[in-house]
Amino acid sequence: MHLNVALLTALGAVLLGTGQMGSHSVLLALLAVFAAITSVVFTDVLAWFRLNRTLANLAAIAAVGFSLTDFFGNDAEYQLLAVANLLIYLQVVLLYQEKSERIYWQLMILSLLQVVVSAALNLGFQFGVLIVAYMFLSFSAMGLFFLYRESLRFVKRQPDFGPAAPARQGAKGKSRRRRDRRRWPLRPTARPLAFRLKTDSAEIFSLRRFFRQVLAMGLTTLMFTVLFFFALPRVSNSVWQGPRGMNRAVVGFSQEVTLDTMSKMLQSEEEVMRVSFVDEETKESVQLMSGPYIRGTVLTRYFFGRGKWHQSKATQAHRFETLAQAGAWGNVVSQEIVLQPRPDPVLFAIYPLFNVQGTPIQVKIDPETRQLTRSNHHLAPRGPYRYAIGTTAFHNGRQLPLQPAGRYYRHGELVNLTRFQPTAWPNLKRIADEVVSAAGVADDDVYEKAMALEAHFHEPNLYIYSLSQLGVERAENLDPVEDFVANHRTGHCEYFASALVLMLRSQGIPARMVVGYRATEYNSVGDFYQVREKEAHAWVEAYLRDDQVPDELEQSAAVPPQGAWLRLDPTPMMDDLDRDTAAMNLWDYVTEWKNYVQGLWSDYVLGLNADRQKESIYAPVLNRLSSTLKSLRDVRKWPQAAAKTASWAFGGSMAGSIVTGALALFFTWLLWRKRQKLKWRPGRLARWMRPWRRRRRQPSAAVRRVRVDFYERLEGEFAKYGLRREYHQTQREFATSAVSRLAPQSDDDRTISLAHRIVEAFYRVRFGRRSLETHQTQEVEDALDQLSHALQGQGMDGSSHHSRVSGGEPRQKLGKLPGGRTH
Amino acid sequence: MFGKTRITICREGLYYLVVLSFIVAGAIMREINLLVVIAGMMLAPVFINLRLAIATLSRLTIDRRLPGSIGAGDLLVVEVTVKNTRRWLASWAVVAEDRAERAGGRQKHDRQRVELFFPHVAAGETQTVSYRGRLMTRGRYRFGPLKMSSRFPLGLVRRTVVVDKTDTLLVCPRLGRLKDTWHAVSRTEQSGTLTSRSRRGLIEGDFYGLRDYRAGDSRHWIHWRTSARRGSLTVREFERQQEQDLAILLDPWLPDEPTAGQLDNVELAVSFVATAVAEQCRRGGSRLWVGTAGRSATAFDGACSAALMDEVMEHMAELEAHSAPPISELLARGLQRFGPSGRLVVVSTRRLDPHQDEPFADIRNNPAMAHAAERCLIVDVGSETLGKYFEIE
Repeated sequence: MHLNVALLTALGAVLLGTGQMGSHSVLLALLAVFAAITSVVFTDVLAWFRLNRTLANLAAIAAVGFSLTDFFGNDAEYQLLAVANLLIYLQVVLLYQEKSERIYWQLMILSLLQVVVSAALNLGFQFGVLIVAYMFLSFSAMGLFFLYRESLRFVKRQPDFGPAAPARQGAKGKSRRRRDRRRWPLRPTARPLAFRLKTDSAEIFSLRRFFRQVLAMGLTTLMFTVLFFFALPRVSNSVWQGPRGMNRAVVGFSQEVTLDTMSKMLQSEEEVMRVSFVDEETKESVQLMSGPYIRGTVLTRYFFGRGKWHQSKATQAHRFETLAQAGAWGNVVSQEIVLQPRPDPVLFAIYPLFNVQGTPIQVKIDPETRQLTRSNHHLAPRGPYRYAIGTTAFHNGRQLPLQPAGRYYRHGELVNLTRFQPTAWPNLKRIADEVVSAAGVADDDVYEKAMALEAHFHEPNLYIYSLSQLGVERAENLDPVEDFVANHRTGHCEYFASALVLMLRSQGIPARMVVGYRATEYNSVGDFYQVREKEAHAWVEAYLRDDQVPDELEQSAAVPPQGAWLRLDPTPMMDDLDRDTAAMNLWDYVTEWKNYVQGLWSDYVLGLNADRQKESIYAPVLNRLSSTLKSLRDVRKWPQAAAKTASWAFGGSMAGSIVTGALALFFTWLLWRKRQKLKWRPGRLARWMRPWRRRRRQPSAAVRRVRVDFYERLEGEFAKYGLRREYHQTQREFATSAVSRLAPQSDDDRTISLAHRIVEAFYRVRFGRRSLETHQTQEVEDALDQLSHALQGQGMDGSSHHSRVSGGEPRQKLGKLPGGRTH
Repeated sequence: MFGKTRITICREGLYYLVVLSFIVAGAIMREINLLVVIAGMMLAPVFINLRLAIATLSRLTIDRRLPGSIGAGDLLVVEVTVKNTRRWLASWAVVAEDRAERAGGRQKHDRQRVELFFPHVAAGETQTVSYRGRLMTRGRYRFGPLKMSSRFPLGLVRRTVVVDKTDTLLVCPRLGRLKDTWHAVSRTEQSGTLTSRSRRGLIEGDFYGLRDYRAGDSRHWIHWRTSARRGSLTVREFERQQEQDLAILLDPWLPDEPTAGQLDNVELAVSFVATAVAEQCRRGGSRLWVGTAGRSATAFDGACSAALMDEVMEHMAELEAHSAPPISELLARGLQRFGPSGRLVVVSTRRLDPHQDEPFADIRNNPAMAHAAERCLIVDVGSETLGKYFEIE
């Protein structure tokens, strides 16, 4: 019981610790685990350290006061954390107290509250694993606690029914007057009748059968919970995103780029989105040979000296337009994206974009900037945003470097994209000229020029890729890009992209910077790319007129007359980031599975809102039901319908699995409920089972066992001294043997005769099927009491006892005497 | 056998549901799906508890075994047997409740409730436990109905089954010990008892031996087996009867508003008379006349036997004291029955004076009975007289 409750409290604290609480609360959770372990050892088992009630109350008041200071004056997130901390403080105080019914209650309630708070703080699927473990533990604790309390009710009532009343005479001189009011010795007592529970009933706690029942109960609860969770109708499309919710800070991606804003780029493991690619024709998932570039925003304007990149034009809502259909473009692949909540309306995708089935109507594109946005961003419910959008950017498992321009560019726009002042970046211009010259590229070969400039950044040992600008010697009077190219040559993707854009522009090639993500983490279990904040990236696009596109690039589709954008990535080592799936080790597989499960958890548990429920649960079930009912009208279609239904039920779909689970639960319950009736049902099976039934009707030896209370007490007396009846011994032989071992120095005959008297009575009741008269029962009780006293008298003589038991009969089990003495 | 069943939510279950409702409210208001998970995990145990509580008591039989009768203050052991007739499912944590109520009792201690606990009754197993105690007040006790309840496995929901099984137990007056003074009184010729030398009757005394039949011998004494073997009638010989007949009258007077001492006196008087009757019947071989003046006058008259003792004990177990017991009539009957040669023992809870008190008024007017009344042995339980004859533990 101690251990179970301690484990329960520790697990509750761990659940809190795994939430989004920060390191301070993780330490507190570890403290709670430590307290749980040490309290079992030092408080419950060894009883070395126990807080008295006054001290515990003072500590609890101090904990409340300390937590209240955190609670007031903070936002909701910190208030929740303050509550979580308070729960842990109180739990630690309770753990070090002597355990009683009250303490157990309080510990279990605190633990439950911790779980409730952690449900608001925890978004990881680990919560799901831990909560299942917690459920089993709590059932076990509740069951044990229930049995403990039930037993305690009866153990506490240990009345003494011995002949305690002294002899009284009807009348005796002066003394009679003194006891005038209490002379009748049989005054009624408050509780004349009572039940005495056998003290060894604690053995039920260790029964395996109890824990089997807990297991069965846990599994049933698990199935019920799954059904309850998915069937309970959701009314809103909002989804809880933890206490930070909408205030998610975006570390990696930004709609502006400012060089040198941080001396060291921070990398965050936080998930931004999951992207999966499905071929629109075959409906099969598409895996790329290298990580795709997922565009967020295009930056065209660079502010000299400040190192800042901006969009050329602010996005205006009224100018948004819906996406076009793919039309004559090549193979359309649907990008199915689950985007975590963001503070801005920017949507991410691989261009060019087309409308496909599943593209929400709220997804719009700015006709000028080609920026993809979400029109109802401010009104949208909380939670991840799902959208599908088509693209033709893939060919033979690769993302094409060319992206058709979505429109015709005006001359002025192209001028802006080539605006470059040689005096501002003299070194950059010089280097670009040298690179182009060294490459020997023809003056009108824009593509080759661009490729040569990109290759320049990939030259070994020329540039250093680093997220940190710490220790880099900077020329304060120079533009950061000029300084990067001319001097330190150390930087991250934004430096490289900026430098290449400016170099391209120095050569008269329209160029722009693109920020987004370079997805490298492909999950082969779930067939999706998991994009994290640390994968935010900046690259370059150079504009090529249709006549400037070399022939070898026109493999997937013809370049439209509007021209195309050529993707260039000057950042070195980016290709190395693509994971080689053939070289995956076990840990990678584990990580993939973990991410996949986390995805399912986020999709179907955390993110189950009204739409999602309708789409994933209700609609598939109703559709299947409807089609099955339709098939039932035609007998010829039954086999086909059955196969389809079976495939749906066991095919792994969420709705199918839930319905299968529900039906399994229902039929299990039905069988269990009706099994008695089934047993008597006439028929062939019943006839066939008749011999078996006849055998079953003969109760086994264990079933035939009838307990005789007083004899069990006798065996219990002997059991206290480690003596148990062997299978080959009769009750009489056992009693004789036990008494002769336990009371060798006493009046043997008398003690043995006491034991024999009890055994005789047992034989009379058990085998003679007779009941004892009151006086016989009284005699047996007296004999038991006398025997118990006799044995206790002998039991105190530990030395002689020890030698007889351990030396004389090695097969006898050595027990522990009451009071802790072993012998 | 089964009466009504009831399902209730326990106090712990109520608290549990309150917490659960808060969690559900939080899940709905804050749209936290994980709270829905927790709510589901908390809701299932309520249903499971309900189902198991129902299942654990189904096909479970319960029975009680009582002794026929006991004396007040004797150890009473009541065995309660629970049998699980199911083939698969064990029963856990079954609480059986029994009730005992004294007929006509109005005090709190006249109604008792006992709970018994069966931690685990395996499928097909029969388990017997007992509760015990000492019923201090004589009377007729009604046991039952039996109740079985279970809150297994979590203690949230309780199912109770009432089994309509009632039994009656007669608690006879507490027996004490008669002192030698009493035996001396009873042995004294013409001083407390009526002498009897009759050899007739079924109880003739202790068996002594066999002899030939003589004229006048009772046919009941013929030992037929020996007679057949010998070919001549042979009769059994008995030791000569030495026991004295006993006539005793109990006057359990009690004022309308009695004190504790007066209540004790009634019990002492009843115990004294019961002890005297039991002793007389145990010895046998004499006649016994017992008169009791409770709410109504009752008299027993006959040869001492176990049957007579049981009858008297049964009556005295339920004897109620009264402020105006009909003692005059019994006195007259007792004195008439024993005639002028006998002596009646009157055990009373009040001080009685044959010359003055109202119950003796009629007798004083009858000279023959007045003479007999003069020789009555009046034992006032409230005085020190009782201590000479009787003690009780």
